[in-house]
Amino acid sequence: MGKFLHAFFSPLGLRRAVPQVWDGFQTNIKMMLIAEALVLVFALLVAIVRGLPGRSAFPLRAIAVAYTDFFRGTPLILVAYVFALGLPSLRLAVISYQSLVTYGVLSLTIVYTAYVTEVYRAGIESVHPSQRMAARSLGLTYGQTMRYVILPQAIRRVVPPLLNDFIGLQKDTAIITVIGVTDALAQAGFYSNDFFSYAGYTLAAIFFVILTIPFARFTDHLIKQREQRERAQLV
Amino acid sequence: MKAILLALVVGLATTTAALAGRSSTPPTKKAGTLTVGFDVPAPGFWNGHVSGTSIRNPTGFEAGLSQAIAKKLGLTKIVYVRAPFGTLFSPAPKKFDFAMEESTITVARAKVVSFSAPYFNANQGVLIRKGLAKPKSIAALKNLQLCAQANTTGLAYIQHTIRPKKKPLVYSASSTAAFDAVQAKKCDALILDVPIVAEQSRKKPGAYGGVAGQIVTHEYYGAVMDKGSKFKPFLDSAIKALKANGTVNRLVRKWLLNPIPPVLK
Repeated sequence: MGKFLHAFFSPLGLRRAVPQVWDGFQTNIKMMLIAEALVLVFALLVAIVRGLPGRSAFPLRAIAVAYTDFFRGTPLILVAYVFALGLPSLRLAVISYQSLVTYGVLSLTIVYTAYVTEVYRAGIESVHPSQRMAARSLGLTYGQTMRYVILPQAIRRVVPPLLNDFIGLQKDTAIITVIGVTDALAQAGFYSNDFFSYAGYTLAAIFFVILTIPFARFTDHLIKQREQRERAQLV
Repeated sequence: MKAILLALVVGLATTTAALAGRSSTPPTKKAGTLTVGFDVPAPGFWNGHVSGTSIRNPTGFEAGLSQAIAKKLGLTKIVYVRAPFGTLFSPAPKKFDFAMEESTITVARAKVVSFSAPYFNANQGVLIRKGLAKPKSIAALKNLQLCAQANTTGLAYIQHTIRPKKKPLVYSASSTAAFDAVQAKKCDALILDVPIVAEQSRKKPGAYGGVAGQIVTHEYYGAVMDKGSKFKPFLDSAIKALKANGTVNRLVRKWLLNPIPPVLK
């Protein structure tokens, strides 16, 4: 037990690891912020495309379905390897000359967009069809109906599951370490290699938890708020 | 008068241009700066703190050698970039002029990247247990309980060349398990890359009987460059010059092997 505590929780080990692990953790924060912003936008676009009505929109719908099916089923670690090792070796202008962090953000965005698309879609479908019909009968176009009637309700409803997916994304930035990005996990590894102490890993875990707990509480708060508003009751 | 002045100016310009052309500056990715690729962990080769994609105040054999190369080529500034070993051997464009990452020169790898002239003999080292008389030859290893790490050149060498009487112990998890076996005297001699066993022996001096010798494997470390890099002739001549004047050996003794173990035959 003492040995275990010393290896993972030695106060000196933890304190000494702070600058090094923090150096790497900044990369995690950067990747998660950029990826989250991109996912929010792209997933909404894909969700809208998936819901387009009419026969003429079939090819677009099919592409959107194929995309979500494929990337929801592909491990992130595999996508990251393909982008980070594959794209540069093609020696194409621009796309082969990006930094490893960019390839990491790209893989996170592509995989998580597929997940979040489904979240948005669930929200859009949860809005009662009568709302859509009412809007159309008032003379609103399809686009206007989405913009002013459906999406405002849909997005509000899916905020909690959306934030839940983002917590997943924040943690998964650690996977990007495998392609050689010097993130918190990589720095923790270097640290344990230099000082024969696993405190670096413990510290990285603490950093991730510190980042996700406020997120989780905020999600709880939003759920509660919605309950109060929609059901007019105190919870 | 004007014509004479003009002729003088033109003449001067031509001479300067000719002089500049002769001292030909090395074609680095960033003019006047040497960009060196590294990866960690590589104790003894690269020591120092990685920050972002670079490393602060690096020391070690490969760090020292790249600094000596920069000096030899008249480049005053060095930039270090982390180039993960796993991404090294591909046709991908390189962000560095050369990378020194303990990369063994192989024919397969040389199809996608260019290697510099070798700068280190990647021999196998023999780390013996405490209390064992130092074996003086490869033949003497035949009668010992040998051990190795799985999937290493050392294990292949034991199986194909030494062919010991007792079955070698093979440790798959990490080199740590193999080192522990030598320390616990379960194994007489561990065969692994010589810089690795030398570093371990140095770190825990009382635990082992020392590095008894090295076995020549004809494997060499070379710096990795873009395939067909124009920088190669400059790097090769710098490495050859630093080998000839003893700088490379001095760095080996300083960071990796001190003393340099005898070669077993």
